[in-house]
Amino acid sequence: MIEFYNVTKAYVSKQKVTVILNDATFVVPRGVNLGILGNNGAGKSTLLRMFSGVEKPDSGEIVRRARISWPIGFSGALSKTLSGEENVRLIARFYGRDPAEICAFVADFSELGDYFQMPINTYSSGMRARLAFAASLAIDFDIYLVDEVISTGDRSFREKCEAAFKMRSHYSTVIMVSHQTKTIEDMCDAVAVMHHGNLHFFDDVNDAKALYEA
Amino acid sequence: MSETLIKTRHEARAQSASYNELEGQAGLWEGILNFMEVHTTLNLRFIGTKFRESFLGYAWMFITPMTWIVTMALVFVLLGRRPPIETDVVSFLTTGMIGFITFRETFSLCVSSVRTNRHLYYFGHVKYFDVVLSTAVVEFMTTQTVFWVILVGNLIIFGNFEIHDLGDLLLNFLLVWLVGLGAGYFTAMLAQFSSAVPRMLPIILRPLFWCSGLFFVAGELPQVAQDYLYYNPVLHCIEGIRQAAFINYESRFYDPMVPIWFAFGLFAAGQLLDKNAQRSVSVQQ
Repeated sequence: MIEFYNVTKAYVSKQKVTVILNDATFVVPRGVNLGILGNNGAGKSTLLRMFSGVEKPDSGEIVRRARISWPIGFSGALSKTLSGEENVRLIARFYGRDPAEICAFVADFSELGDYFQMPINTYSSGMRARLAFAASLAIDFDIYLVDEVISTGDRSFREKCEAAFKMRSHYSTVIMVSHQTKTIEDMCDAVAVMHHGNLHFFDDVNDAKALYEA
Repeated sequence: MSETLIKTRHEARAQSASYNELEGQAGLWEGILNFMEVHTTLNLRFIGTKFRESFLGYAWMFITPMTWIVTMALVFVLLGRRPPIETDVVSFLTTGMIGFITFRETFSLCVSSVRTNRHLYYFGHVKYFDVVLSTAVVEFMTTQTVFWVILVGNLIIFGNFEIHDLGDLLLNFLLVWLVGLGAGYFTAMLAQFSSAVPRMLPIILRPLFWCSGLFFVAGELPQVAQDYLYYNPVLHCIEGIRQAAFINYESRFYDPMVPIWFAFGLFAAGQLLDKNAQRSVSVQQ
């Protein structure tokens, strides 16, 4: 589970202060797939980074008691000078998993072929996204973080990603931020809306929509 | 509003109590193994990245110190100056230059590593100190490689090679590295509170280049200068390196406790800032 205690977070952009959370206290228990709706600029990605532990709150405390993923499909942590295989080996080692087993899964899932052994700076953006998605799905996490997208690439690869991710969502917790109610409706069983520095929680997505679209 | 999601702190703590009991049993050994696993992985990643980025980048780590050594050797020859120690010019300059570079590179790379590797914090186990330490370890290996390549080059080209006490030499290189690591860690953590801090690095490093004994030994200086420079830990380390390298040199200035206290003090202050910077996000996996 992830616990937020009296968390406040704000950022300044173009001389304007945006309050993302104002003294928020809540807990995301295991087994609840939570969707967070918010307009562009509301601070959804910042909130997701706070869940992941990369971003710190201005005040308050966040306690994470679970193995939490990086945002699904995030490729920023991949070293461009290393090959796809080398990157995946290192990720496997970070999480104490067998590198050979994880590499076999990613090579198969990403369908990169010989490119898997080549440096990432030779990849197209689509290939990089495939590798990042496959690597995200290769490690079993208690909580998966999703920033808008759960799939990438052409239709068949998108379908494969969605199927694999839905399977994981049955036995892991998903925390997804999005500005699209449809995606959240499909994936989540509880919804929160970011609204003027507060997170309003709902069990029914229709109630959430009413506040979000108001 | 969802009742499942909003709980009081007391309720949440009670729900996670069983988890904490399991956590307590994980023990020190698992912590050590995890620490080693993370650091081995980071070291492999940094080595892989550092040496493949570009050939010029790889060559640069040799070019910079060698340019300085050749230039200063020419200055010594042109001025008719001999090293203050009974040894050849290249060995004298190399010990000072590589000693200083070990400090400078460890210091500055540790400071920048916290920001340049920020994406690695998405991997739950990786913390600021892990990145700083691994950066420093790779840098130590790099500067040691450069040192030994230059010494072997000096032997092949000029037939000069002098190492008096190898163990003591490595200890003093380790000491100057520790000072760089402590200073880098402290400054990197300070930079978490103010983005202006990294911009101050040249202000610290430039005077240190000229007053850390790269081109002289401490005993040559007037007593008043020695008194002031007693608080320069890098000068002590370079004196120590030269004392270990050259059989005919014994430094009266050298006090290893100065760099040890500097490194320890900066490291402790860095830890304090680190704890303060991360106190709001705790990871219990």
